[in-house]
Amino acid sequence: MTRLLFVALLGLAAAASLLAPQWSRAQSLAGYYHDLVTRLRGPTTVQAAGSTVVLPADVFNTGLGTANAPTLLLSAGDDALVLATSGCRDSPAPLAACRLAAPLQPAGSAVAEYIVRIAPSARNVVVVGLTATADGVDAQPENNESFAVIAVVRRVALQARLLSRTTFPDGNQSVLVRIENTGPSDTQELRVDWQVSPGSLPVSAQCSVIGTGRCPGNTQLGRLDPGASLVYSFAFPPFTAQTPNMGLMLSATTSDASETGNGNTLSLSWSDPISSDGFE
Amino acid sequence: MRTRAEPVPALASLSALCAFALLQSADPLAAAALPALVVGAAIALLRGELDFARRAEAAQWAFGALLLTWCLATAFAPDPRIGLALSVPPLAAAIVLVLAARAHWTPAARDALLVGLYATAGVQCMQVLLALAGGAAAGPAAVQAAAVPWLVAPNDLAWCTCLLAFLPGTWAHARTSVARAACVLWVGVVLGAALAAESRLALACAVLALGVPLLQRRPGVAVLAFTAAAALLAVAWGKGLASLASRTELWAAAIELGAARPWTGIGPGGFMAALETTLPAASRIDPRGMPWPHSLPLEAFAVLGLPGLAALAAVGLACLRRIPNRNAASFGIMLAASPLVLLEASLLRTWVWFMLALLCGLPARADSPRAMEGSR
Repeated sequence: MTRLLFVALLGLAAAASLLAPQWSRAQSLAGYYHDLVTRLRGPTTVQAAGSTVVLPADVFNTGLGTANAPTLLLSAGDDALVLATSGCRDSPAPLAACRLAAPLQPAGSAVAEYIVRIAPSARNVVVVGLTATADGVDAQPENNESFAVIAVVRRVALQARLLSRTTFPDGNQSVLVRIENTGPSDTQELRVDWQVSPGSLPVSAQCSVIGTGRCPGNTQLGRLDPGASLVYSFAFPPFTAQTPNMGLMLSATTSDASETGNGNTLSLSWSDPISSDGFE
Repeated sequence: MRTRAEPVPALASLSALCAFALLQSADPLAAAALPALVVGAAIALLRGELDFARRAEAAQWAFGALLLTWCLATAFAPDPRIGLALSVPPLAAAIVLVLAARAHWTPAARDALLVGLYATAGVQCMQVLLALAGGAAAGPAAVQAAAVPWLVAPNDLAWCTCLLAFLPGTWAHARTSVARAACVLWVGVVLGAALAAESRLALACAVLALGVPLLQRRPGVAVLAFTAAAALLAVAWGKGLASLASRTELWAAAIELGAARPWTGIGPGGFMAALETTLPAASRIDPRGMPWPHSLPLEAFAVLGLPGLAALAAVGLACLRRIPNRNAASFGIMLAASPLVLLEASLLRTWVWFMLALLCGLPARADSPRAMEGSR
């Protein structure tokens, strides 16, 4: 009987040596070490660049010791994310570093909810990393990191509208048109095409930027961040008997983002008020 | 087939115990320690080295009770997972106890076991010295850099210095100059490591371990030497008595925690987390996380409850009763181990379980070995 018990004891020890080969190291750290494991839950649907998403960040302590001063650090390359707000409390750290309010006891867990804005210039995918640290020894530092991949598309909404049409005393006319990006993403391949009628009119155009953007030129495409505008100033000549009617057709298009809405074209036409009513 | 009159020499048992201890002297080899113990024990079983018909002594029953209280405390702990993960040393100690208590330990085999312990201590201490030579700072940093699984804190080196109690006996039986040179080298390495680790407790244990033979021969000199050594140790490195004051805080907390769960304790490995609730770090003299209360009896009370404390007391009393008359080595190691047990040792340490199992298991009276007899 005693012999059988001893054999069972040996079997138990053999199993222990197989299941926990590093028991000696764990023993020497007994009580000192924690083991933080993180999980970052990214959105499962495609997100628009510039939109706001919620990233729940879970952290578990699977070690045998308390993790004191646990801190989460959210990161993404190339400034792809901007922290909108944080669910963490008592966070004295800059932006994405989130100091949890309480130590994590063994088998304890916490959730920090990050609300982030994807950079308007993000393309294709944004890889977000989450790292957890705490004071003391972490048994397996390699599982402190987790990642989430956010699929990103660019969505712009270009709105072209007439700001003003002015006739100066000398008869020259000015037409101001504003092209605004009301979408969440930016576009860096903006093309603005315009036509006047009659086509023979000597019309010149000047472009200026309100906000962050760039006017399209002869050799390069334009850029327009969310909320930014391009203002085109068209200088029309005075009406003449041959040109009593004038018109302007303008369209703003982009090749690096999907266009939402249908306000990206503008069609204007106006007539000489004197000739049209026949009094002069 | 051998008869009871011709017991099988404890060759495999000896190898298993020495391998288990030695392999844990270096972190890369530590994973092989438990398999080596299991394989060695299995071979000992197959060779017929273990006599299961032998009647168990009180010390062995007491050690068994201690193991049982560990299991119960683990089962009833708030998080049994922690205790379970820390249960490999008690499990190994149960095997060590069987090997020590059931094998036939000839004087030569016991001498060889002692040499194995010397080697284990020597290798561990040498690694501390090498860490110091490698650029580690003296004190805890040297111990940490050595990465010896048995040595968590500098005071863990005290288990090595306690072995000095056996040295006079070994010295007396060392016939060759090589053997004596090895003794001198070993003492230098062990004391050097204790100095490198700045462990006053290890040095105090060394004084006590070596002092017993001195006390037997020249009592006056021994008392003077003890006093001087104690004074020197108390003021060494400017540490003063702050660590003792910190310990009193931990002891009070351990008593409080044990009193709160007197029957099962807070469970193995639960002290550090429980300490935060009883005595938060901000209000402690030493705010560092502290996994053990720096007192084996109080740890047993806090972690295992009253049954654990009673079992540990039974182990201690049974070991004291096993000291052969006028055996200076056994008395010396008991004396040297006293401050270690009261001020530092922990059930979280593998060496504590290993040494307790050996003390309870190895036969003490029937066939006292030559080397372990010490100077008489």
